[in-house]
Amino acid sequence: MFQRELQKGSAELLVLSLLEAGPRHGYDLAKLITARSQGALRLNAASLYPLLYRLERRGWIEGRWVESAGERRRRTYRLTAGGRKTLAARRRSWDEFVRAVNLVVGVDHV
Amino acid sequence: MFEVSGRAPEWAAEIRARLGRLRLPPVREAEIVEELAQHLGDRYAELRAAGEPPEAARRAALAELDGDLAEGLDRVERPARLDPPAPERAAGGGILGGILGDLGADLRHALRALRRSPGTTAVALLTLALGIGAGAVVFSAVHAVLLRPLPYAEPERLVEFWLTAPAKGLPVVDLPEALYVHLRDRSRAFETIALYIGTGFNLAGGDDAERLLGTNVAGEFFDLLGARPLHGRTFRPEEETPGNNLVAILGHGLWQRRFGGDPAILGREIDLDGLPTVVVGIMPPGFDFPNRTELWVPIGVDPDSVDCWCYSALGRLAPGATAADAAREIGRLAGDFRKLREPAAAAGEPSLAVTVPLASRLTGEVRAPLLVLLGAVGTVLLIACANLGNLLLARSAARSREFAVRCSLGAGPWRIARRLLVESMLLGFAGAAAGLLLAAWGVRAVEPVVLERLPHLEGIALDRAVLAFAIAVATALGSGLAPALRAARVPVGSVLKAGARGTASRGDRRLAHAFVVAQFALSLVYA
Repeated sequence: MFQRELQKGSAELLVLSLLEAGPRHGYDLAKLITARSQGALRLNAASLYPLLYRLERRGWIEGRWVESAGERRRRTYRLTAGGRKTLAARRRSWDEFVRAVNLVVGVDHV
Repeated sequence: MFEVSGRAPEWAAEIRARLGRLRLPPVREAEIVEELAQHLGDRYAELRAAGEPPEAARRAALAELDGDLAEGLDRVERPARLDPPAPERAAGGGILGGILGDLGADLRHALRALRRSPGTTAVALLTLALGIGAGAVVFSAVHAVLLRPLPYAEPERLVEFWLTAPAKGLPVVDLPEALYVHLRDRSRAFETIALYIGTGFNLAGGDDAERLLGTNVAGEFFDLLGARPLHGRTFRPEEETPGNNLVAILGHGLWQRRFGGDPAILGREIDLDGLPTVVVGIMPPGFDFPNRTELWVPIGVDPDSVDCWCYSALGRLAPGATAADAAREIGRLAGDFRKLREPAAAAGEPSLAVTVPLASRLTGEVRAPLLVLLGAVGTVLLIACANLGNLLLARSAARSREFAVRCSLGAGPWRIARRLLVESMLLGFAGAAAGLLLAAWGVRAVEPVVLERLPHLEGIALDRAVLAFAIAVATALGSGLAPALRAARVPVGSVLKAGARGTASRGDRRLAHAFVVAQFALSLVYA
């Protein structure tokens, strides 16, 4: 469901938004997206990790291997300052986009 | 929560199987595999904990890899490929293929651009063709006359020499036979000495008599010049005595013209000035020393004669001896000779000799004019370059909007500069081709004029394709670089804002002024 919409860049917004609250690793992010969208949105590993690496290359998030006792090391991602700015801008334009679409589509209660 | 048992599926292999064709750096690949394996392991463990049977859990975990993982990673992990790959690159030509493919695109673009402004292109081509054509003709002449070594063996050791008596107002005094014999027997600075004097001969026989340019020679004239006969032999020492000198060597041209190239002429008698003369040798084509000579006959040397101070002398320097050494020695020996002849004059002024390298004597008359001419065509070519540069600059100013649009679409400055360079390079090559055609015609026109003054030349050949190439490239670079660099520094915003028309920036105008000033200055050379 909505896989194609996710491909088109809004997935970036999802990941950046989730990381705003604090660092998380990939599997956590995938579970959170599914949970918060009540199962409507799903990012599998094949989509999620290329996306994470892309955001990392652009300097918006930063991944780090974190070791904790008794567990395998995990790669944890956190939002960078640049990512925070991008997130703010993306959010704004997303809101504008949604409002514009709703105006056209005719959702009265917005 | 984790099922850490031997039955836990091996995720890494599955993941690697899907990355196989990516060829990531090994360290990076290991990292990605580790992270993804963990993700799959977490998913599997979660499903198992929720009561899924192992096989169903395994399938569900593997579904995490559905979609094109490799393609997604490929786009991210190779930032160079963030842009959609160019078709040429996709064809797999590697780096070279990429460059060539881009070059092909640039060439097509350049052809289109040149066709769009046929007037500019025609003027540019004509300018280049004339400049390069003139340059190639003159350079060919300079090369043939000044740069190509004499067609004789070890030309740098060949010198001409004569005596000089400035006090008597005689800058050039040639040698009499007796002095030649004196020098020949004593000189150490010279390996060998020869004597010659131009003469006319009447060749009779058959139906018509013919006046020939001939040369009387003595000493090892042919050996000294490194010339070997094509047929027969050169003269023997005993043949340069009076009465024994009724032998002759034919030039190749005369042999062909008069005797049909028949070697049977060797040993036969011909009628020279009414004297029966035996042909002993035939020289190869191209040898006509000293001056369009068709026939050589020995001097009947009289070792006591000082009647005629009229023989030109030629020597080959001994190894290690310089022309200056030779001049000093000849002066000293000539002084001894005079003391022997006229003891009374022994206290007079010292004898002096002058030695001149044969090459510079032969080219001396035309050297300066040729160099002046070379400078002149060089300047003409520079003016042509400046003209062309100005033309291209004007055009690139008119196209600055196009460049700005390209820039804002993501073309780098180097890319735009390269397009312009390819354009001017294309112009340069086309101009050079036209110039060489002109030059081929020009050389034929110039050749007789030069040959008249430089008889030792076999001809001027337009074999300077390499030079033309160099000129073309230099021209293209010289005239195309400035506009190209300017275009590369186009301030995108201001150009786009400046409206629909192309505008010349202040920098463009300054550059154009510089070109005009340069042209004016170069033109003054001709004033």
